[in-house]
Amino acid sequence: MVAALGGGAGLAHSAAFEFTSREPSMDSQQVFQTLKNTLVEQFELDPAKITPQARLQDDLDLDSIDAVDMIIKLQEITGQKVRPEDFKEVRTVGDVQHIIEKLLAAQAAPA
Amino acid sequence: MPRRVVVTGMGGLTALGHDWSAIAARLRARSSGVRHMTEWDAYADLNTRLAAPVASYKLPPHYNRKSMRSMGPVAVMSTRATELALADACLLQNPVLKSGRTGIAYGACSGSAEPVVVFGRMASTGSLRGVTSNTYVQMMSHTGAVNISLFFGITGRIIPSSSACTSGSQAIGFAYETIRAGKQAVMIAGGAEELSIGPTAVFDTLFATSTRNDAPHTTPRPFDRDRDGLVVGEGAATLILEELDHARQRGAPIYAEVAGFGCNADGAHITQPQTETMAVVMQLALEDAGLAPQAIGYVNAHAAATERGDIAESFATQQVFGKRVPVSSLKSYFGHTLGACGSLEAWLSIEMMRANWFAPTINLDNVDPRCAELDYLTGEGRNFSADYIMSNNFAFGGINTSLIFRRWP
Repeated sequence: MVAALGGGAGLAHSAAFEFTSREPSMDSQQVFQTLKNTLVEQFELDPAKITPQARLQDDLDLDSIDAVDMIIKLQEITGQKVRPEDFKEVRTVGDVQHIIEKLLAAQAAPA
Repeated sequence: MPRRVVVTGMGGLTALGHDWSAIAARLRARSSGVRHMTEWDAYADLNTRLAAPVASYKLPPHYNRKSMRSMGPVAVMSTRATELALADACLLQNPVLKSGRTGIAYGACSGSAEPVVVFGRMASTGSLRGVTSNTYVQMMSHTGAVNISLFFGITGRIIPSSSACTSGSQAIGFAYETIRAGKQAVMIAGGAEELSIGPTAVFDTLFATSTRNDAPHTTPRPFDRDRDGLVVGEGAATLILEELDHARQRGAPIYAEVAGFGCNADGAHITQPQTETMAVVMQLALEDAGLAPQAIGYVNAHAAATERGDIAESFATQQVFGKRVPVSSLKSYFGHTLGACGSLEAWLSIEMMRANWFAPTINLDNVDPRCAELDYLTGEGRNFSADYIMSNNFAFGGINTSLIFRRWP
């Protein structure tokens, strides 16, 4: 996805940081680290700036278009549909982490 | 008194370099940008293995993720070529860019190719995998024009001119008419083309590509008896057009005046060019400029080295100018840069007019006896001075354009 945004060098998707259903027990720290890696890769961010408190818009300079691509990425890596209303109140990296944890919990729950 | 339009900036990315001095050295050395494409080995059915890719270029740091997320390669080249032209025109920091008095006319055959693959996969498999917020934006035909607008904060009118091989020339023509009509003071005008397998396959299917795969530097051969088709090229070129008084007031460099533009259509056949309407478009440009044919000192031909195209164009040119007008084709060096060729050839023709030297058509060893007699420039090219030059382009669907530039004293 980074490649797609970065001048069409390729549309290949990185599988390096995917959350998978084989790891339902991923703990909070693991989720954060995976999210951090994904944000660094997808939006070419400085890893040092990514803290749970970091505000997506004010601190990381992400905008509505970036948010759309983040949602697409979250859907891709969790295999769950993200409802736009779930994302409405999202302001910080920690908020995104919380959504991922909810999605992974839903994924782990028996059908 | 109609407004006069001058060229105050020029820039581009080409197979032979990214500024006139580098390009001129290659033209004088009769050095072609065509090479064998090992990258295309996977396309077993493709006849041609030749292309003229743009020479590598570096982007400054302000081409970052955010400023480039909506761009595929064609938009990147459009934007960078425009930046070089705006710098050349000393306009990069000028408030006129964001004033609403600067507009854009820009085109390409289409947007970028890779997003097309994503939508193709969606259509064939039902999966939206790979579709992002910017997929369509990179694919749409006006991607270059609007990315230029975003990158430089241009707020005037945008005229997308995506008409295949007349994208660049229509952009210049429509930009000239826009300024002349008083609708804008400055226009960014040009065209671009990224190298992708699609357009190559289109010409290949029509048996219009050259297959001299083991001798890249001997092809394409515009007007030559032994030509065997075109070679697809890549690049971008932008001209900055400006209302004369506006240019004078800010002490801008002036390279040439846009003296005339003609544009018409064949209305006949989707791929076969028509001599009659080609001649008409040259006549229209002459009328627009208020010139007799004898005033034109040099004609830069479209001449892609296809059989029908070269022959039809040579007869149209002869019909308007007679046998004694000097003619050459830059496609013998750059291949057919499709959406870029109109502005690329306009830029370099203006530079040749300023240098008082006109490049030869390379690989033109024996003029095809089926082409009309003209003064074909060969060998080392020719030193002479021309007050007016003409640049002609023709596109699929029968679109014809003719531009006339006047030497600036």
